[in-house]
Amino acid sequence: MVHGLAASAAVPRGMLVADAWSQLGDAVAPLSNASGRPLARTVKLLLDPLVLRPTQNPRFSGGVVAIEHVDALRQAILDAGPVLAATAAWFQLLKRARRRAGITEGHPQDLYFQRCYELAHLHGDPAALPGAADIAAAAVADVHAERGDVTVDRLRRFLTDPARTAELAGLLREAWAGRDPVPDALPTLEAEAPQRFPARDTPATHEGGATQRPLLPDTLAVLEAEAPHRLPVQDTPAAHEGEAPHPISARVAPTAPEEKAPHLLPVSDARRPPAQEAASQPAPPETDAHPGIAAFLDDCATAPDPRLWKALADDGTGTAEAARLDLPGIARGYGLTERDRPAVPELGERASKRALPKPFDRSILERLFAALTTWFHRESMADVPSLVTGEIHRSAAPWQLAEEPSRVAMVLGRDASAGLGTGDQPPAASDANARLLNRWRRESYVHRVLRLPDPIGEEVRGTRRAYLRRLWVRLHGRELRGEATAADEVWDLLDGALRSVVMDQRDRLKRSLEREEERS
Amino acid sequence: MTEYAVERTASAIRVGARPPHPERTALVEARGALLFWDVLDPRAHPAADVWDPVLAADWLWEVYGPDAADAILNGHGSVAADRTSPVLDAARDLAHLTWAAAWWPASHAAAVPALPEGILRAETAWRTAALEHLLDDEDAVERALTGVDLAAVAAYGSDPDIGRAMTELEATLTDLAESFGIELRSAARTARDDWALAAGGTTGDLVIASGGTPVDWSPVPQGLLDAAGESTWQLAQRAAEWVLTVSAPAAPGARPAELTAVLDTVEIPLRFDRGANAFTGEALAPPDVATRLARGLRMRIHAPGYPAATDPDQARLRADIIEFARRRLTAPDATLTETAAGLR
Repeated sequence: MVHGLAASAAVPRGMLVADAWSQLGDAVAPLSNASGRPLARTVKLLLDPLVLRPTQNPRFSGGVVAIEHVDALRQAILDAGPVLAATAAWFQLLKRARRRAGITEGHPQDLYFQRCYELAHLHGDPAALPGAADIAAAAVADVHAERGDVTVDRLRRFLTDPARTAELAGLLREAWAGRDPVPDALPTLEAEAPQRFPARDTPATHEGGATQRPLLPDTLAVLEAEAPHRLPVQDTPAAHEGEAPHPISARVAPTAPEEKAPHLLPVSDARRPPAQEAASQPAPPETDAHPGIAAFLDDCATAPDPRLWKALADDGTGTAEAARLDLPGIARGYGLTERDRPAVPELGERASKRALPKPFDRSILERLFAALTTWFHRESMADVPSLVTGEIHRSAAPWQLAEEPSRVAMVLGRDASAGLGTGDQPPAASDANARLLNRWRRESYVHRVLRLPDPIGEEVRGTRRAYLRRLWVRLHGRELRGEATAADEVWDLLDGALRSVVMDQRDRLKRSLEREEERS
Repeated sequence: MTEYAVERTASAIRVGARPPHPERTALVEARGALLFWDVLDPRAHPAADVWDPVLAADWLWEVYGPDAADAILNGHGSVAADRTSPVLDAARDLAHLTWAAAWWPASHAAAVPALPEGILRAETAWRTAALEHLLDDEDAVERALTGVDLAAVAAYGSDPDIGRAMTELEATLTDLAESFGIELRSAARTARDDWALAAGGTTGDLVIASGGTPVDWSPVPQGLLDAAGESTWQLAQRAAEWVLTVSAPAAPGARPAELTAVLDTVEIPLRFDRGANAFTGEALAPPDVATRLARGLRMRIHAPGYPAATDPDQARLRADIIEFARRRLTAPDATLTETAAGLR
């Protein structure tokens, strides 16, 4: 079915994958969509990390594949045919088991695809296997039980245990006392960071440990490196409270609770500082960031340079750029706090998805709560005490993030988002900046076509702040799950955060039209 | 055969041109490109703004065929596409359903029934799922399924014409919901009486002047005003005051909403009057309104955040779209949604 191959020296990867996939036939239908293509998550969670492995096979990466590698790519998929067919069969069984168990939490593809792939390797095709249904039921129970160790409840009990609060409060004070707003002191802080952050409990680092999942050893490294960087659709508690008539944002759009419109939520928490009218803030002046930042932003969407990405982190570029966050109004201008300057967070006693403060204003409990109430890859998180001490130290770190690449990503996001929501059309400072501004302009055209009202006021002006908040939340989540960010994932992260902000705006506009109906 | 000029701008590869009016635009937001069909243009292949050629390369061949996709991506000045595919069909259907959700011209006056919203959502989710591998929104399927109510689909299960298709749609959606972890609702709201007759009303006011103007749909949300209706106003004297009264006929299946009529310098809030099947409102008018009557009062109805239409030939555009919608109700390639609407 691939036509015209001879005409060009390279073939779209999607065409090759579709071609090979179609040869696998009906056996992989549960992993396919109605057009017969592999589901987006089939590519992201199975084909890429476990079959094609573009990290190890650069010839299979990118949008097009050179003609000489076409057969190899096709063969790689065909060779995986039997195990993919078995994976598909296991997926059907796990879905059935999930239904029987009455489980509705989480995204079945995110939660079960890789587990099914393991089962396919261990047991082959379940059709020929006595007791396959029991294995499936056990797998589902395991997926949902292994998260039992780290729950919001345990977290809350740990943080509010009177025997422990003094110690934790001391730790928090100490972490923030060691924090010096004068930039000279930052390198010291950075040098200490590695010892201060507990090692995360990942399958890769705990082989044979109690928390180890039965992953195939040779897939571990790849899974670590290529775990999907976006947070998937989550089943949030808010979605079950039945308040929203049409809880799209509660179920779908937010990848974390932060992502609900803070200004639409009831603000009742008295300990929060009074809301500032963010719109009245002057836009924070940009610094002359490291020249590598602009260079990376120019290429990250098309040809990200891994050496530059590493150099930016090695040079502490993210940390250096964080120093200004302590100047009055800067962090607020970025939408990360409502305070004039970031202040020591509280340990926290309660948290609600519906009223989460801005990231830097969140208590330790709220920060972890936000990550825990998403379901994806929670098993890769540390235990509760390590999570809490890690979060305490993280809160005092530059950008309130623990790892230098995350901080660099915040700087990249800051510069790439310049001019979003300002209404005028500033000349783009970099390719990434131009691309984000284009997405924003495209959205206004799409609104017209979809006959949606134009977002107005703070909804528009606050776009960049909402963007930086979302980016922070995603980076924070990645840190908690121990996901490294590779150079070629950065653009997806930067662009994905804006797409998510924009889609939430759209959902809010649609809901506001529907709410009007209910009010009347 | 669909032929388009291909033009390269700083930020995109433009294949053909965007349709001239939002009202006529059927859109798919794909990964790396916007695809648009003009609903009044029968050509099978869409125009496109390819904003990320690398991303779009993955699937562009499915929509245009490999040769045409190659021509678009590799610098040709024009492109001819003739290949059709199930993906192209699904994309066009999804675009069309998206258009219908925004611009379907339901009207008592023109006898265009409202689309059954439950079926529209269900069919949209089904078509979205067929394209999930090429959509920009990674959560498009989940988002679409969240709005689906199975009871609305099941209600058509015993229909002699489309019952079987609806039963299949119901089964497909149930399966999709399970694969994407969405709990579907199953409690259709009771159908409204879409074709209720408008009740007339008389007042004791002394009417000084009155007028009317065709409804302009662009500045209001979908499904509120009758697409072929005429909104009317009257200036009357009541207890020594000037009162402006406005009435805009509601679309079949209209829902309450807050609209504003602007007549001369007077803003008049409108509310849905179910009994009259119209959006109505009144406001006191400044005394000098009467003096400006001679010049003719222009009336505009809008909702917050909606820009005014700028096309001078709105009437023609509207008539074309209404005619198109009427034909779609019985077209052989109509969507299930349109067919179901035609049955009512």
